[in-house]
Amino acid sequence: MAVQIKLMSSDQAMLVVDKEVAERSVLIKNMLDDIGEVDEAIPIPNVNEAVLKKVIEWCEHHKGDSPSTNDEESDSRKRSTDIEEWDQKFMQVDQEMLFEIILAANYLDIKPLLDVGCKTVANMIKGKSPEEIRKTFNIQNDFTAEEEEQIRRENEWAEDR
Amino acid sequence: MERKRPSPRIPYLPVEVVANILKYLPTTSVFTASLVCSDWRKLIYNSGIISQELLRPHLAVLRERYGAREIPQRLLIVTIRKLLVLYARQNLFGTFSSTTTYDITALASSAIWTDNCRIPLPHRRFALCGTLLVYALRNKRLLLFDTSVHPMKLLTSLRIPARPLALAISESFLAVLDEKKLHLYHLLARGTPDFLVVQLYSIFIPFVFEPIGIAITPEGPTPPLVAILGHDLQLIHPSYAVTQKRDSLFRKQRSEKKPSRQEWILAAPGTSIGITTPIAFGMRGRQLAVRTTDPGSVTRCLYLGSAWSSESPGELAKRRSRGIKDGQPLMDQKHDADTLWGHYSSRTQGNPPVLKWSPKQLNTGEREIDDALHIWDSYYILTELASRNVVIATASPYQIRIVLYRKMGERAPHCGYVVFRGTKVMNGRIVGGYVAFCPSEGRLNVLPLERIPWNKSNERPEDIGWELRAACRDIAIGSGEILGMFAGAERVVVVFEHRVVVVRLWTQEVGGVEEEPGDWAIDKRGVLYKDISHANKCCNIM
Repeated sequence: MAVQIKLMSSDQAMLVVDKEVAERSVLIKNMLDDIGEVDEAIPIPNVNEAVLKKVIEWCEHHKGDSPSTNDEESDSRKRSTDIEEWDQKFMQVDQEMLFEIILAANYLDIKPLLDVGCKTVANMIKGKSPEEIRKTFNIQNDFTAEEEEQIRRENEWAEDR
Repeated sequence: MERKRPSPRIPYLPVEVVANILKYLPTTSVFTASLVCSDWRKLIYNSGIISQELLRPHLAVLRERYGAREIPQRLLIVTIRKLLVLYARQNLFGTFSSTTTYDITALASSAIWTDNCRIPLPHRRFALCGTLLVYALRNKRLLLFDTSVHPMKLLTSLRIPARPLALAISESFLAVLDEKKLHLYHLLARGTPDFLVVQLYSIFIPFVFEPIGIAITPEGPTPPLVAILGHDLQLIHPSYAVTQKRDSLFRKQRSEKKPSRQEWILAAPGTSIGITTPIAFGMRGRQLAVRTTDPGSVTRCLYLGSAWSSESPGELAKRRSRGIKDGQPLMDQKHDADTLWGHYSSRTQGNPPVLKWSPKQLNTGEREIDDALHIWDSYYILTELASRNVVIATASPYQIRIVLYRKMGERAPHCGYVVFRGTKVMNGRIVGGYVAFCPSEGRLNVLPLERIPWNKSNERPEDIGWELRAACRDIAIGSGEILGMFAGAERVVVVFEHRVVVVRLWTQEVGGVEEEPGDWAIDKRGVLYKDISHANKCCNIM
């Protein structure tokens, strides 16, 4: 039977996962490497139960994946926003959860999950106008009048007629 | 202990995560993202190594479009940003737009008058140029609107001596023709609070028979030439106006003497251009197009000619032999009135004026065509009358390349399409040109010229057109008969009987101004109201 470890979410929920699965997180892996075997739950202070469960779900599904690919990937592959089907389904969550997952992946240092999350957001930005992007993500337009004027000038035609 | 943090939204994500997201954007989206908020903008253009990482992958894209020469070896963010803007402009044009509708019922109702001019009234009520709309009212007032701002702004209400027959406007000049005189106004200090309209001249024009329209040369530093089309085409140079003024000052009477032709009339009068009932008259660059309708005759013709140079067959042949194709070089020359005048006077001196407007009929064989507009080179967009197809065709030989769509109305006051030929940026490269057309009632499509496959001849013209149209985003402009359209670099202005619709095509303002789409109404004094019923009420009371 696989070695199991316990994780403690920010809202004090205890989750038990296979060590192999948990080690998809570089943070946890390093921690385990440092402190060796532990019985106590590892606190994950930035991630609540719901999100942690979601993250573990992803790790479970991807536990067989080859360990995180290195950065020497070709540019085109790296920038492609193709997401595999399971991940697409997995990312069909509300925006709040999506960003929670991204933040958790960032904190737990799960690069492939972070990338899937970022690609999902990038796909939501693609093809939208700035105003549509702002509306989608509830971003305040915080340009000052001067900045706006500057942008206007930069975007202007050589001859604006 | 849980750290209290706001619900996760993009603005609160750590910088490296946002950068990671932006990394996956295609080139055009990087540009749009840079307009979303100051944080993103900073991240994309102004964050040292992060910006470099973000922008580096897009260099390949830019290099492919603009050639390796344009892309600096060292990553200069300023240069990249400029190219990015250009790239986005070319690729996103017509994709995002915002439409504002202005109800002009009140204006239209005070604009109606009757006279014996042959041009249909709606055509004479207004004139459009890139950023201006001028609307004539019955009470001898011209309302001048700036359409480049949102909402459009009344610049001035100008009192004129008589009801106008025809109007023409450029960015800094306004020409008004009435029954007796031609008036030219200079629009000074645009864009400042001190906006001022100064009358340059007001002269009597003898021998204008049944004028059907006027036009002025496009933007230039000097007062424009004014062309009046009646039975013949007359060009009026500002110096003629000065002479007239001086003469009347000394002689205390207006000279009714017919001036010597070399002095000011460049087209040979009498030799009517063979137009029976011209109804519309357009000037673009040096090109002049006249639309005619002749109810008595079977044929309807469209004449295209160059107003500002002798486009005699001989000249054309010469140009061709030099490898310059029809149209383009002519259109790109400077439109400075004096240069053009010099061109003419040097050739007329001592000789009888040989320069007459030699209109060129598109040689279409059996097919009857209408509403041809020049796009570039020898390509025109036009309507075939029999099939009602709006096509893009080459002029010589006449060959249909693309069938864009089938025109809806049998007979509409306006052809329903306009061409903006693009502006010159970067090493003479012309970009941003587009064709705006209404494939069906109430819809406007914008087709950037870059997307048109000029040399695709192995596919059916219908198929190419269908593909092009499928890629266009429909912009709703509301139904009704279109009276006038104008295409500028930034916007398309469509004038209906009771509405003016301004479609902004470019995201220039997206950087900030809170979009306030929707409807406005303009009352008869030119004041804008957000509440349409209010404006109409006012017009009822008055």
